[in-house]
Amino acid sequence: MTNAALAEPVVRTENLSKRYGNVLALDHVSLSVSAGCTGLLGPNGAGKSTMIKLLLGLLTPDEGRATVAGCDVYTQALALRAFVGYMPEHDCLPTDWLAQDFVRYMGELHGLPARVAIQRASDTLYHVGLGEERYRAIGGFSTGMKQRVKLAQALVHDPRVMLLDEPTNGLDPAGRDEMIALIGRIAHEMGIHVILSSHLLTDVERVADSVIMLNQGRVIAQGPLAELTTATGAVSVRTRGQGAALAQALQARGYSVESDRNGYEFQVGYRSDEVYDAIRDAAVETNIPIMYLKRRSLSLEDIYLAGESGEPGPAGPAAQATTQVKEAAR
Amino acid sequence: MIGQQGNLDNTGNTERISVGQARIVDRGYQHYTGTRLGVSHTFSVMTWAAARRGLGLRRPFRDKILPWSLIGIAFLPTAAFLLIQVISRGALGKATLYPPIFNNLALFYLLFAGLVAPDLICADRRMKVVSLYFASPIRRIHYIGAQVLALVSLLSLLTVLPLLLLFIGNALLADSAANYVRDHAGDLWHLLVGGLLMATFYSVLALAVSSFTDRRPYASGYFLGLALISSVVSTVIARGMNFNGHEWFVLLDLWQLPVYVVDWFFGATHPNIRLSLTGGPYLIAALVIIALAFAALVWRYMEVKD
Repeated sequence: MTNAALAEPVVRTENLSKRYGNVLALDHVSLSVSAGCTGLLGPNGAGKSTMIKLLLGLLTPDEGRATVAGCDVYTQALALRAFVGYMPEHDCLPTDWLAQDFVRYMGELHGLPARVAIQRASDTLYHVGLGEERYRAIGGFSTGMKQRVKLAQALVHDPRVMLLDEPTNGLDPAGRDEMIALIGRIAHEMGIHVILSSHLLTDVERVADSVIMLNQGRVIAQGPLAELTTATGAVSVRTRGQGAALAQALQARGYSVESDRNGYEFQVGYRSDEVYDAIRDAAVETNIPIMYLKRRSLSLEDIYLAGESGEPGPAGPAAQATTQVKEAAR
Repeated sequence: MIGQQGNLDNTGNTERISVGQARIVDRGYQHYTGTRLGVSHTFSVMTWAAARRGLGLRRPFRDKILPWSLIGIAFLPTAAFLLIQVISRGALGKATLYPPIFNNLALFYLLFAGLVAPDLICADRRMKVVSLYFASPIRRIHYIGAQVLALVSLLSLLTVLPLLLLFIGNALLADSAANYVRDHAGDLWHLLVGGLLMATFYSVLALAVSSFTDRRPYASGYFLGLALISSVVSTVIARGMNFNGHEWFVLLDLWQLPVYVVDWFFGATHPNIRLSLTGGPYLIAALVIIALAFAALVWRYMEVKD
């Protein structure tokens, strides 16, 4: 893999389509994944696993092409897989193997010499928290430990890119926290690019630098998480008691105000930072205490729901990114 | 002693600081910058892993019992013959024992293939480990090839090695080892080719049958049942019926067919069946069955979902 290849986006797809019989799993997906941790979000059946298998060269697309770290996934599949780690969604571990033996074996399959593979298997199992249990048979492991072995086998050969398919599946909340923390370490401390497929917004939100949202085989949003969830054109204000007078005072100053049903919270249109002064002055004028004041941000859920419903979505960069993607896909 | 002197570098690189006899090792993540070996390395790793699995190495004792017992049985005729020759100072003369040994041990070869082949491939599919293997830098044909090569190599421990030892023993017990080897070079050639053919035939067939199920006991049962039933049915038709071309049915005897080929190599006639067919059709039929079984094996693995 050349330096020029590494300068390119980690993953790039152009009009990638895959059909299973009558089911269109991916519909002309064009996307670009940059360095760091990228969340691949979507409900079950959105096309996430299909996308990952296409990126590994395990499936052949009906249309389009894809590159991972500059390598074409179909013409250079073998060379590429030496630099990619894959953690499948389903159970895929041989229960009668020792964890150390299996991880070492996977390292050797990815081209590591035997002695290196033995050393790296020990180190990798240590990094995923199985240092003490590495000489136990995998069959005796808990679900969380098995997920760690799956992660270790994807990491042992020091991949440039890791494709993790639903890595928190079947884990209890504590196990999920640990797995997400581990993935964060891999992406942000070990310098390995991670594509994290999940249907859980919270998992992705906690660790991803950027996000791609899929629904019914289409990209409904993509971009850096900070941009997607950036501030909208409103400021949220919550008052102690009824805030109707405060709202009227702000409207008198020329601001648009949308109040919620009980009148305790409302959204004030944002034009510039002067809005904060206006809110302060209105609060003093009406003698209404303010409990909470914040520039309103989108959550991933907001973006996802907007994309899923096909609505234009909230104004701002997130919507712009979504729109750009949809136009590109067309 | 740790921390008495010196500073730890917390950059994430391995840092060893000696303080007297003590050593501090930072186990931060290390990137690998060494050579990555190619497909031939991966193929040999997979073959060796499959062979180890077939022999039950690094597995519980119960997994070692059957393969090692069958290997032991395959060496018994050689050991017995050589022992008698040594004790009786060559009383058995120069009897050519190779075809009878192949004939009598064919059932054990069949058992070995039928028990080990499912062990090599069924568990990988049942536990879906193949999806990980196929996501590594190999093609499916490499995986299949490694399993075939491993089983052929293991079965050769039964079909080739004991007979080779018998040949070497005979040579050493002869008046002149060099003369014996020169005079019996044909036997050496026939036992090597015959043994490898038997190992390949049973191995590929057993793996092909095993590829149709991911349950080991079923795979063993299907393979052994197929071999035994084909043997009985083809023998009954070939010997007991009298329609035109009935003798050709002997070519469908999946148990005895490679034995007939070996008999032909050694110029012997199989005691169980005396037909007008000469050896050529046996060899061609064996090769065709190997090719068909391998094609079925490849087809089954092309169908496996990732």
